[in-house]
Amino acid sequence: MLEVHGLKKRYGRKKSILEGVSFSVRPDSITCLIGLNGEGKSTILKAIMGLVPVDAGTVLVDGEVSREKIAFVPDLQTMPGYMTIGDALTYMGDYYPDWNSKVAEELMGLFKLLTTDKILELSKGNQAKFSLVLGFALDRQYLLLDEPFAGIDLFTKEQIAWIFSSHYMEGRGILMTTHEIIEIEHLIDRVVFLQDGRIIDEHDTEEMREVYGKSVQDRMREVYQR
Amino acid sequence: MKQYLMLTNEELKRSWKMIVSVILAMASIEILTIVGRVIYHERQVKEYMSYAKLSESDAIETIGELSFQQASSYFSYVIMIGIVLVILYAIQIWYRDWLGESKYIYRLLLLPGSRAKIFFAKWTSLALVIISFIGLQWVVIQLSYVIFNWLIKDDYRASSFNMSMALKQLYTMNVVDLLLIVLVSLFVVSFLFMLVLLERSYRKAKGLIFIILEVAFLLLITVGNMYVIEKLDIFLSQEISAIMVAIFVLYFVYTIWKSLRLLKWKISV
Repeated sequence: MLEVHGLKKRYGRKKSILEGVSFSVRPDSITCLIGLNGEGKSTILKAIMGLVPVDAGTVLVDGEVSREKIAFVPDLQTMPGYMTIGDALTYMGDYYPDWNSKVAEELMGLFKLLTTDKILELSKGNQAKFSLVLGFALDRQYLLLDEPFAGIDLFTKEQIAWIFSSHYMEGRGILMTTHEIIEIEHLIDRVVFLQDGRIIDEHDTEEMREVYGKSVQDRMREVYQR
Repeated sequence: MKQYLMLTNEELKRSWKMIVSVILAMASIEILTIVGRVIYHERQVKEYMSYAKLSESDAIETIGELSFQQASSYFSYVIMIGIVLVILYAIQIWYRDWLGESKYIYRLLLLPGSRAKIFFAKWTSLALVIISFIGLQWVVIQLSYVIFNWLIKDDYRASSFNMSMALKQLYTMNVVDLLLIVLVSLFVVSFLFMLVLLERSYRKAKGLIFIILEVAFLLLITVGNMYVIEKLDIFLSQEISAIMVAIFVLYFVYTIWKSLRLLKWKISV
């Protein structure tokens, strides 16, 4: 279990980004952090990975303070621009002991990516797919995805959404932020609604649909339009 | 260790075109200035001969012989440009990872193991660039001297091999002096790294305040110590040097310690 306890983050004295955020992500499940722009979704992911310092709070993975079981896929390109995809895959293999080159190769084939392509010359959709390859080919139990569908076309979104129902998901806990809920609503197990740096609502999606008769999108409208 | 070496290689791979271009440009400019000065001097003598209707030896006597010191007088400026470029590189080597087309800093900070290797890989890259820069400049000076002697007629040349004071300080053959130059350069690099990491950790006004405080702290310990030593007036010059070196080494260690702490706890993407 990935547990986030009491994350607090302030910029200066006045601007509070996170106000004691706590939630958990189970293995074999997809949890979605939902919120309007600037509500602190990306900051939570970065804080979990130690990419921004927090004022308070802890992150535990299976009861331990460690990030070795978590992979992070930000919504931007993280490999140097001069590299080709092939260079980047070699780089990952060199630096990460838990890099799974077999999975990387399979996903490269499925996404029709070429090792000779330069990373910065890839289309937005192919960049997103390649980022997913870098995340899923790490043998890690938890995967954090920041806006994996931002700014890409419908077919690419469908291809990316496919991976969440594939065998590559087995045993993994996914925590993602997204605005594009329609494409993956049927795949999400849990939603966490954020507002003003606080969690204002949390649901198992199945329970929400069965007991309350509401989709995630319906609930989003209720939460953010009231 | 393996990751540190790979990262150092990666840093150099990312910059080698720029580094080689700058070094070649500087070497070319320096050699061209030598050639230019010799040609210009010869033309001056010739023009003065025909203008004043003098013999070559009289014209040389009036205008003066050309020494290597005079011919290489522009080297100091080129070296100053080199120093400025190294300083800019020490800043750029960090900022490119945040502000470049790709945000490589995410990858670097997410690499397994300690983040200290990121710092030391960049630091080693700078150290190698500085040592290469000093070494190559030394070669260029020797080469320029050979070219100077080959180009200039014997009658036109002042006999002694005198370098300007600035060049003498930079191109000493004394191992201790050379080591000191490299150490001071690396200290400047470490100090700049710490300032960049302070800015990248605290950003905006807070970052600027911390940078000002660190610069003030450095000035305070340097000037303060010099003042105290002078006031006490009980140390021999060798002892004063030893005290200053000790303070310098302590501050050097402090900048590295502080940078590593910032990278571990405070840095922000």
